[in-house]
Amino acid sequence: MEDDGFFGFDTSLPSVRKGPKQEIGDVELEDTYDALNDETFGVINADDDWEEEHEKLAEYLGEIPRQEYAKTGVGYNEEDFEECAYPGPQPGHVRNKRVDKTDNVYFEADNEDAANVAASVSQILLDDDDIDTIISRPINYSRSMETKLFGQMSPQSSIFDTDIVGSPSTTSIWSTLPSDIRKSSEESPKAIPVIPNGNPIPSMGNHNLLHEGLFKTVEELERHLLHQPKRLTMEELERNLLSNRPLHTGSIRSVEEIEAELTRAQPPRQVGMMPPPPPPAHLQSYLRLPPPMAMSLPPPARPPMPHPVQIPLPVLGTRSNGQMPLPSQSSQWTRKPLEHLEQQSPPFSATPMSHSNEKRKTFAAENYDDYNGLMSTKEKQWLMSIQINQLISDNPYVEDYYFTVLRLRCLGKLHPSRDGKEGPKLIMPERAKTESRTYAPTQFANSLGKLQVVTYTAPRRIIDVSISHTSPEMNQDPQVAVKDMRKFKQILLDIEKMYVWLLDLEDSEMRVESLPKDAEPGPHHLATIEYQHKLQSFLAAGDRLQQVMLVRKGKILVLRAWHRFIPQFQELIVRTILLNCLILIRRDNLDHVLVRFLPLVNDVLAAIEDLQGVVSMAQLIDAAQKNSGYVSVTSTKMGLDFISLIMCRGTELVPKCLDGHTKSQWFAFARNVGNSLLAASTTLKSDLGLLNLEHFQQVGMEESKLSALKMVLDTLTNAGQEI
Amino acid sequence: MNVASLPGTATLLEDLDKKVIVVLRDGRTLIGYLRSVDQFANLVLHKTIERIHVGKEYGDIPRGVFIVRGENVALLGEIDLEKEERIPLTQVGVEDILEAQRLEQEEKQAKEKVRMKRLKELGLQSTVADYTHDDAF
Repeated sequence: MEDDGFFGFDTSLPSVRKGPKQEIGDVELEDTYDALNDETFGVINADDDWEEEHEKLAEYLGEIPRQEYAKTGVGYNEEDFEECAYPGPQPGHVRNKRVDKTDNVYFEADNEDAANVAASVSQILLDDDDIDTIISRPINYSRSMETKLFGQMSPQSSIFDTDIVGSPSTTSIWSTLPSDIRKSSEESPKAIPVIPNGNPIPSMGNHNLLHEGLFKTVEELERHLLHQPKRLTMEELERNLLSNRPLHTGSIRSVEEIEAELTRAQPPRQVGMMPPPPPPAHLQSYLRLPPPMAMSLPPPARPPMPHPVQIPLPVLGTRSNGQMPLPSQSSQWTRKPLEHLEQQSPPFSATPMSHSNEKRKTFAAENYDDYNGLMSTKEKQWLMSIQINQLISDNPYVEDYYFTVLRLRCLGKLHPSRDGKEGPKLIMPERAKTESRTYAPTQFANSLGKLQVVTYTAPRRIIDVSISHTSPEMNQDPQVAVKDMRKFKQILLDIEKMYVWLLDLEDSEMRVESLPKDAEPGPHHLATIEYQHKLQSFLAAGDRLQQVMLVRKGKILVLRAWHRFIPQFQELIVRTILLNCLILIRRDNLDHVLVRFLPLVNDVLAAIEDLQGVVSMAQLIDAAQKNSGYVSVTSTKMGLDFISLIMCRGTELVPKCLDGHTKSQWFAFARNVGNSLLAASTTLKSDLGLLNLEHFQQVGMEESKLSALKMVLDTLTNAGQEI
Repeated sequence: MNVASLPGTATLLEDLDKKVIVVLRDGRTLIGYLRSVDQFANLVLHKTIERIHVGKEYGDIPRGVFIVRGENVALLGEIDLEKEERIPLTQVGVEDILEAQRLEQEEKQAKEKVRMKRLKELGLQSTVADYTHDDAF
C-alpha cells in the first residue's frame, strides 16, 4: 500500500495473519522504497487494513471500550496477565504468540530482531526520560485497561497521584522492557513510531501516541534535555543564600536553619497564595531534606486549610508518612480551598507587606541566633501529630457541632452551589478503626482531691476518686443505698472540712508558741480557741462523731485533735467508742487505727474518780453487745483490751466505793466478763495482758470458775507477753 | 499539612525561636526567646528577662533559661520588635523597680485594710477573693 506521503515510508500497520509463523524475509512491500525492512520492522502484509490495526492498537491503549474487543477479536488469556506482571524480557513462548482476529493473541513469530529493536528503543526512551517529565504528563488510561496492560501493579506511591504508576510504558515502575511496546511491536512491527531520523509521526486517527507522551522522538528528547531547569548545586544554593543575607559568623548552619531562612525571607504572601513556595520545594528535592519539614515549618503567611470539608484527611496521613509532596501535587488540592480564602481575607496592601518583609529580613540578619532550631523537626512533627490527633474526631457533629456547622455555612456562602443543591457536605475520611483503648490513668493512693493525669489521647483526664463504701448492707433497697451513699459522702466532706480547721488550728498554735511567753493573747490565741470550739461543736452534733469514727480518716482526725479537746469531750468520745465498739472494731479490721485509742481510753478512765463512772462505761459495753445481737466483746482482741482497761480501773475503785448498788452492778459486770472469758477461752487474744484473777476474786464467782479462769488468764497473759 | 492552618486551633510551634512575652498566673511577666514546647505547653525560654512594671516605669531582671510549667501560663504572645523599641515607658534599674514595687504593694495592702475595716463597720463581710494567694488571675 502506498503511503509514503508525509513520512516517506509506509506507516501502515503490519498484517495480522493466521497460519504458521512467517519467515523473516517474506515481506510484501512496495518495490519503490523500503525504509522498513524485515529486519527492522518484521513482515508487512500490504493487504491488511491499517485502520483495523490501529483499532487494535487503541484497544491496547484502552481507548476503545471493552465491548469492542469482540469485534476486533483481540482477547487476553491468563498468560497475558502473567506476562504483564513479569518485569523482565518476554518469555519465548509468549513472544511466539500471534494476534488473531477472532480469539487468541498471536505474536509475530521469530521477530526477535523486531523485539530487540523494540527493546532498544524502549531503553532509549527510559534511559533518557526524566522521571519528572513522565510524572508531569499523566496519561489517562481507562482503569479497566490498567490491569490488562500492567497486571499486578507496584505499590501505589503517594508521590505519583496519576492514574498509572510510573512510566505508562512499563508494566511496573521497575520494569525495563515495556510489555505493551513488545506486544505492539510484534503485533504490528510497522507501528513503532520512533523513527531514527527524528521525523515526527502524524496522528494515527485519534491515537496520537506521540502527543500522549508514550513515545518520543529523539528530537524531542534532545529538546527536553536542553531546556531542563538548571539544577542548583549545593554551592550555588549557598552562594545565593549568602548573597541575600550576609552571615555574621562563618558558622555552619543546619539545613533546617537554611530552610527557616528561606521561609522567613519569603515575602509574606497574600492569604490564598499557595504554600510551599517553589524554591524550598525545589531545594528539598535536591538537598534531600526530610519532607515533614515542609509541613512543620510554617510559611510566613499561612492560609488556613479548612476542616476536612473538601480535603479528606487521609491526604494528610499520607503526607505524614514522610512522602514529599510535589509542588504540582500540592497545588491541585490546595488551590480549590484557597480560592475562597482569598475572598475571605481582606487583601493586604503591598506597602506594609514589603515593610514587614524588610523588618523580618533585618530581624533575621541582626538576630541570628546559634540556639535557633533547638527543637528538631521530629519533635515538632511529634507535637503536631499529637495536636492533630486531638482534632480528629469520628463524630464532628457531636464533638464540635457549632464549629462544623459554621464552617459548612461559610463555605456554602462562598461557593453558592450552581445546581441549587445543598451546600458543601462534610467528608468523613475513612480511617482505620483504631483500637480505642480506654485510658486508665495511674492510681494514686492516699491522694487528696482530684488529680489530673494527662496523655496525648486524654489530655485533660481527671482522676475522679471513686468513693467505696466499705460495708454496704446486703439486700438493701436501692433508694436506701443511695441515701446511705449520700450520707457517707457528706461525712467525708465533713471530715475534710474539719481537717482544714484542724490544720488552721495547728497553724495558729504554732504562731502562739512562737510568741514570747508574756505576750498578751493576740489574734492567734483567739483563733486557736475559736477553732477548738468549732471542731468540738461540729463533732458533737447528732451522730456525727459515731459516723466520723467509722471512717479511717475520721479516726485519725480525732486522734490528732485529741489534745485540743476538753476532758468532757474526750470522755464523750470514749463513750461513743465503747457504745459502738463492736461496729468500730469490725470496721477497723483493715485500718488498725483503733488500737491507738487505747492509751487515750486509759487516760479517760484514769480520770474517772468514782466507780459509778466506770460502771456507766461498762454498761455501754453491755449495750454494745446487746445492739450487736449479744456478740461478746471478749471475742475480739480490741474488745478484750477495752474490757481489760475497764476491769483494771474498776477494781481500783471498788474499795473506795461506798454505794452498794454501784458495787453490785460492778460485780455483775465482772461476773459476766468472767463467764464470757471462760466460754471463749480457746479463742482469746490480748496484747495487754492486764487481766488477772484479782479482778474477779471479789465479785462473787464460784471457786471452780475462778480456778478455770485463772488458767485462762494465765494463758492470756502469757500470750500477751509473747506478743 | 500545617496544624496551625486548621481553623479553630492554635499551636506554639509557630512561635518557636521568637521573642515572646509570657504572663504567668502569679502575675509575673517574662520575656524571652521560645526555644521548645511540648504537649502540655511547657515552655523553654532562653535569654529570659523578668519585667516588672510599676506605673510608667519598668525594670528588667535577667533570668537566663526558664522552664515554665504549662499550667502556670496565663498568656503568651509574640513581641513585635519594632513596637518594642517604641514603648512609652521608662526603663529603670533593678533596685529602683523593686523598691517601687514594694512601695506599691504596701500601698495596696493599706488600701485593702482600710476597705475591709470600713466594710466591717458597715456590717458587711467581703466576699471578694483574696488576691494575695498565688493565682493573681
